[in-house]
Amino acid sequence: MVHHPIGLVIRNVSKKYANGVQALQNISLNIPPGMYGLLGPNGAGKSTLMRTLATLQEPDEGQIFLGDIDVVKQKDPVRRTLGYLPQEFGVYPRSTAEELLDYFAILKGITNRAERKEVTAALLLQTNLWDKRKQRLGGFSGGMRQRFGVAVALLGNPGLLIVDEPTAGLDPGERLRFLNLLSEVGETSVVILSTHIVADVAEICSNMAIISKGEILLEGKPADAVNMLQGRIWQKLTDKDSLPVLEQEYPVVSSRLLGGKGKVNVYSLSRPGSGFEVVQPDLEDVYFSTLKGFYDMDIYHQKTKQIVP
Amino acid sequence: MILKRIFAMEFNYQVRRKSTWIYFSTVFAFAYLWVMGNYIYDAREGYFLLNSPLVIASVAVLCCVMWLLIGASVAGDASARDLATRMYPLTWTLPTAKTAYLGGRFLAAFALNVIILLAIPAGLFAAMELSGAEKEILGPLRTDAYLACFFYIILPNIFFATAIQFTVATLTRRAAGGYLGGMILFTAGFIIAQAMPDSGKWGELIDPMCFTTVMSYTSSWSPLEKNSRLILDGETFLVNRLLWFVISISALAFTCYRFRFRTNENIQKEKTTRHPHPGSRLLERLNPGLWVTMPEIRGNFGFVSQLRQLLTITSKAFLQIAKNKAGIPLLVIMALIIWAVLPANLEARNVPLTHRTDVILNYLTAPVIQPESFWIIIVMLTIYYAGELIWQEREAGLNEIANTAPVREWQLFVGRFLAVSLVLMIWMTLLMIAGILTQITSRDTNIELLLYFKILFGMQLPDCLLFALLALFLQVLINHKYLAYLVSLLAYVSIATAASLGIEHKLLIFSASPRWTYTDMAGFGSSVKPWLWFKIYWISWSLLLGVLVQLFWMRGNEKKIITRIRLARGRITRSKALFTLSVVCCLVLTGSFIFYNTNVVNEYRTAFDLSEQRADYEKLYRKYIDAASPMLKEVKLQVEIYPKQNEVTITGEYVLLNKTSESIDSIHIATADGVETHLKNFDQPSAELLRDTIHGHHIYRLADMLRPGDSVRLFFDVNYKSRGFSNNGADAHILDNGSSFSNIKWLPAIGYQPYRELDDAGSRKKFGLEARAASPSLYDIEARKYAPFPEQIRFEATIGTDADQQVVAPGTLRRVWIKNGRRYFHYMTDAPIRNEYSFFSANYALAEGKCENRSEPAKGVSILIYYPPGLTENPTRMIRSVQASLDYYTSHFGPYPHQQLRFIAHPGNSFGNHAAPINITTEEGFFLMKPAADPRGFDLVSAVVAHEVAHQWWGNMIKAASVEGAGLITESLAWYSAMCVFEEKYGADALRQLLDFMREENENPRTRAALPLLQANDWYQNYRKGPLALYTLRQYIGRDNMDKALRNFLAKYPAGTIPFPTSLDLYREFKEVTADSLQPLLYDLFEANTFWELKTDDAAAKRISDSLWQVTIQLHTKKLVIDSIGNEKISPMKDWVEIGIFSGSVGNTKGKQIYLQKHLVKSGSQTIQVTVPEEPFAVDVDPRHLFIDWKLQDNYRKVELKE
Repeated sequence: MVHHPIGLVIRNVSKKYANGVQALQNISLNIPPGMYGLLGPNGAGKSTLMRTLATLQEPDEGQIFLGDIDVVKQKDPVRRTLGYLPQEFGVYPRSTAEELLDYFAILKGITNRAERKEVTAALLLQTNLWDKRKQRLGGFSGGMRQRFGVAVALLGNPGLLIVDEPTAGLDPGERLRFLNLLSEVGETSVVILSTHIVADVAEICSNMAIISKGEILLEGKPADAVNMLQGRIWQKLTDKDSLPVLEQEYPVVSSRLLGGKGKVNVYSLSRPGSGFEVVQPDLEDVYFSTLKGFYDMDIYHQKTKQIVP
Repeated sequence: MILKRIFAMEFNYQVRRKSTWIYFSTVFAFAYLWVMGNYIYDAREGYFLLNSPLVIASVAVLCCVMWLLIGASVAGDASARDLATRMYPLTWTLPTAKTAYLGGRFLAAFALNVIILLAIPAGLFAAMELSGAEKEILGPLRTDAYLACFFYIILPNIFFATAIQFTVATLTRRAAGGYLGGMILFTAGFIIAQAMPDSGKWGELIDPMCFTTVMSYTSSWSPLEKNSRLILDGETFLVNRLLWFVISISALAFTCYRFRFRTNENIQKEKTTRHPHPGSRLLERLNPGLWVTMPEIRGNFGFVSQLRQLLTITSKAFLQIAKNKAGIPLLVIMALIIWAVLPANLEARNVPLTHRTDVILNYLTAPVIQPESFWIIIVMLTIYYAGELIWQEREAGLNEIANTAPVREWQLFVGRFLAVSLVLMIWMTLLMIAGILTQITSRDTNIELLLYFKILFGMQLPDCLLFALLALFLQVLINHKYLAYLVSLLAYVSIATAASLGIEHKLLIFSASPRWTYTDMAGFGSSVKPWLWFKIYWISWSLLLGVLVQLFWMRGNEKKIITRIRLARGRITRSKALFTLSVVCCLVLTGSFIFYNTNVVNEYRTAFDLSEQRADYEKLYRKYIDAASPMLKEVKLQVEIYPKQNEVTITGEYVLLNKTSESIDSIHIATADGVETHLKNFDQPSAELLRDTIHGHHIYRLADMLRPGDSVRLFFDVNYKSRGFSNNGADAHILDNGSSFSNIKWLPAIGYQPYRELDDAGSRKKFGLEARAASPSLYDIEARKYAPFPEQIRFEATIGTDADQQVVAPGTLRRVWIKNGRRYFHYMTDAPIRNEYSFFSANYALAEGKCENRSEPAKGVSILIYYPPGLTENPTRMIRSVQASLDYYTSHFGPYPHQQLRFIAHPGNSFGNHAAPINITTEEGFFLMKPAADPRGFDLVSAVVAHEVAHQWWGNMIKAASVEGAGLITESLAWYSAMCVFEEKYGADALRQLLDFMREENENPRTRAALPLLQANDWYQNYRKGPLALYTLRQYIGRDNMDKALRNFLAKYPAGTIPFPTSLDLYREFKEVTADSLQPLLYDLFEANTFWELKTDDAAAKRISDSLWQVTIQLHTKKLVIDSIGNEKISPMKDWVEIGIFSGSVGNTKGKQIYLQKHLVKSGSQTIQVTVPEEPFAVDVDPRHLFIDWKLQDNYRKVELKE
């Protein structure tokens, strides 16, 4: 069977928890094949959305379609093409990596013995666990465990791969390798990567959305979003003590301390004041501007209109 | 300080949890219900006051035992929550000493458990003082009873249980460890202590909850003590508390020693994750050249693939529980224990049994829903396994990954169910191995492998699987592990006690069915069919549960009930709906078929209905008890038995004779339940005045009065057909092989039948009947007119059965012939028999013997043993005993009027005998006894046979009135007679063994409070103390006087005389032949409940010449009379007691008797001097144990030689 990349459509999905928290509010997204980044602070509703996409939770309202599969109602067909790496997961500490991967391979329908051997071997190599395949999972480090989770998620060439904050526990090398792996999968499948690390999205995602308090604040291509901020981010170096004053006076996007000095990024259409220099914006500025409400879909769309007149 | 903070943290956390208060309410409900559902009835029966200290303690220990299983999560959670919630990186890195950490947690758990178990006194108080129990059964409210119980039983129990649960949970690092700890204690207390035969003190020590001790008080305390005594003392009690305190403290200390603020994972990690060259590794990892291209392989989701997935899920789940220490390892240990104790359990009164396969299987199996033997542990383990299986993925944190895999809910569920099934099958196999090994070592029987499979896998396993499915269902539906444990346990308890809660129909009790039975002689009989129908019915229900499990399987994180229901609705598919529909069809069909059988074809009657019927019978017809009634004189029957069709037809004719002095105009006839009786006509005109088929009472008026001395004939038909089955299974009277039935059960009787009345006080009160004692008083002269089925009849019957079977009935077998492919037997008695007889039809092997009949030397008596083919161990032995017995009894008591004496095997696993005239029914198990292998060298089979033969005199020729003390005439005299046979025919050793056997019972704890033998009705007094007292009397007044008294007794009350004799009449004969000097002894033995306490304080000897030694003996003696309530009264002693002196023999054993004389012994200390011709070794007061003295060890003393 030739695998046609198909997109994921989310329509007006809402979810409220029993304790009254509105986790998702009327979310609608079009997620094309390829890498898709879901960016947002902790508690924004990323994991809720991810679990809902992964058939583990029910939306109160709204619809989700993977191609023509109704994700909410036809869970089994979704699971046949789903790879899911939860934010947090455990393992059977007494099983070895190879055993447990083999077990999940069968659960994912790879029941032919020879095929299964081939797939598990490839995944163990891919995730660099080949040498550790006979070791008990109880002795794995956080990174190794995470890589094992990736191997499980990649079993059976998923058409929809959902990874929830996967890079949090990885060292820089592991993270790089992992992101490369995702990119490769993204060539043929929908890959949704939820993260609060802006750099992850910046590096590999062709599309992204910023979510906060259960709402989508921004949806688009990272490069375009950054372009739109050209000339609107101003930076000033100042001493530490005057930072609070600056934050009162200016629309501050972000501020950070560097060796006793303060560095402040401010959103403004024109130079906000003396000492401010215009700087080349990056995705982090997009992220913070959006969260702080300086930046939204309207601005993003103006930008795209300007580019494509 | 830190300990206090940790304590407060844990305590506040758990005290706010719902589960804590659920446990509290459960324990409260248990305590309340135990009083209201059980003890209140006993109190109404008059066993004790409802709020007596003993009841308070009993309910407390029962609740403690239950709580061991349900409340284990408190300690388990306190110990292991940090690990389970992954909070440990925060708590374990704090600068806390582990003693403070563990101590705080443990104390918090202890405090919480104290709060939970305060529910026991609360529940008790509510039930006893606030529920409105009637005043008569309540004593004054005693705070000291509550306090003693709480501080002496409950509080220590909580400490021990919490300590052990906490220890296991901490060492296994899992909250479920608490549950395991609870199970260990439960097993120690409830199973081992209870199951160990003759465990006695050891059982009491081993029981951490004091359950065994407190329960033993219910039998060993006198009524007086039961009502008032506090449970405070008792040596084992204190030792038990101390022992378990030490165990608990040691366990806690060990826990503290072993505990480390590290996880197992951390420990391993240190070893394995150090990379030697991280740099080069990193390079390699970053090198894109190493990229592997992923093979284009996707899942396959066809049916075969689904089965493969099912197999994988099953084996994974199976390995998870099998590798668990509470999995296969525990089962193997249990099987080993069972194997070790199996031979000791295959005994009847300590006589080894032939290890026939069905006997072993009978021991190894039990309905799972009845709390019997070790199966209760299997139930607990099943509940535990179910929880583990449902929760293992979630506890490992693997659930989100596993749940997004493309497998169906049915695979996830069925895989787990199969895993439990596999474990249970392994258990069955282990049991089978234990049984087979036992058979191999005993080498006295062949191993029926097929039978093992049929019974263990065919009959026992389905029961286990049904319960396993219920446990899984509850786990899934409730979706809270410990709550589901609790509910599963409650479900089990309510299933097991449903009948006593008033739910008796097995269509309403999950997995219930009538019991199957199997014995080698009768096979499964008719028991399999009803069993199977009920099982199919319950399997259908289980399949429905299975569908529900799939619908409600937790796949995601949605715990809200509404969402779960919505999800479940979404999971309904066409195939599931079709499956459900067909299962429902099956359910309805089997359910209706069962209902048709139990309620339409057969009448459905609850225990209440049956009691009510008896009560109504008494209310309606007791007024006729004194109505003049003719007496049954002759019985003529034409019986057709159809074993294969479960059918019997009887055509009968009674001759009734007016033995009264007045004319009789109406005749009362009692017809039996369970058969169709058709009273046709009398041989003279009569009119039916009353026909009550429900209560079985009919009245006919004769046109002409029946004058004294005249007789009338009654013609009737009785038909029996077992139709289908009832709620209790199929009727087991008529079987393919081994049918039997008696006149008492099936045939009409004349007059009002007092034996049908309700006897127990509680039921009598419930149905508004006048209160009366269970047995009429010995001094109730009216009551002496009645004894069950006392008429002396001439009996004649022609009985037909299948051509390959043998029929046995009373009398001489005159003729056997074959007609229409059926075999007919004509039996007729030569002399009248008491109106109690049975018919038997089966394939028997026959052993025959002959015995001279002193009264009719020409004829002799044939001895016929109809035994199950193959069981040749005992028949010859039995014949020998019958010969000896008949010879002794005819020469000492009087003639035996019949020409046969038969023992007829009846299929069944028990060992009992029932002596009707001529024919004695013997249960199949009796033939399995191996007296030759008895380590005591005692021949119980011969003794029992002698006892049963004696019943031909005591019980059949002389029938005692149904009043107090009747057992002295039947059972005590029968055992006494057996002793005489042993003494005369089997020798002194055999007699000693029999006497020792009778005295073994004295070692079981029991209250000394009792009625005197003349009035006693209980088993111990009738079967043990009575015979021994008669034996003592024989030693004092001599055999000739005994024989004379008994012969006179027989002569004065020839069979059938009214009023019937009582123990007073027998006693009068004894008085007659007893010398004045011994009258006090006679009184002490029979008229009072007397105990002697004989003790040798000191024994010294001095040589006074070459061949003479003077022995000085210091005695201390006491005589008490104890009434039936328990009041003790010292009685002055002045009895002739034997003093025995023995010469030393090899080692320290009592050697040759060199002196035996009766001495007059008074109460208190006294000195006795005697001279003996040999060097004395030991002194024994009452060496033959003729006096009733339960403490025999102190009678004996070694002699100190003085120069």
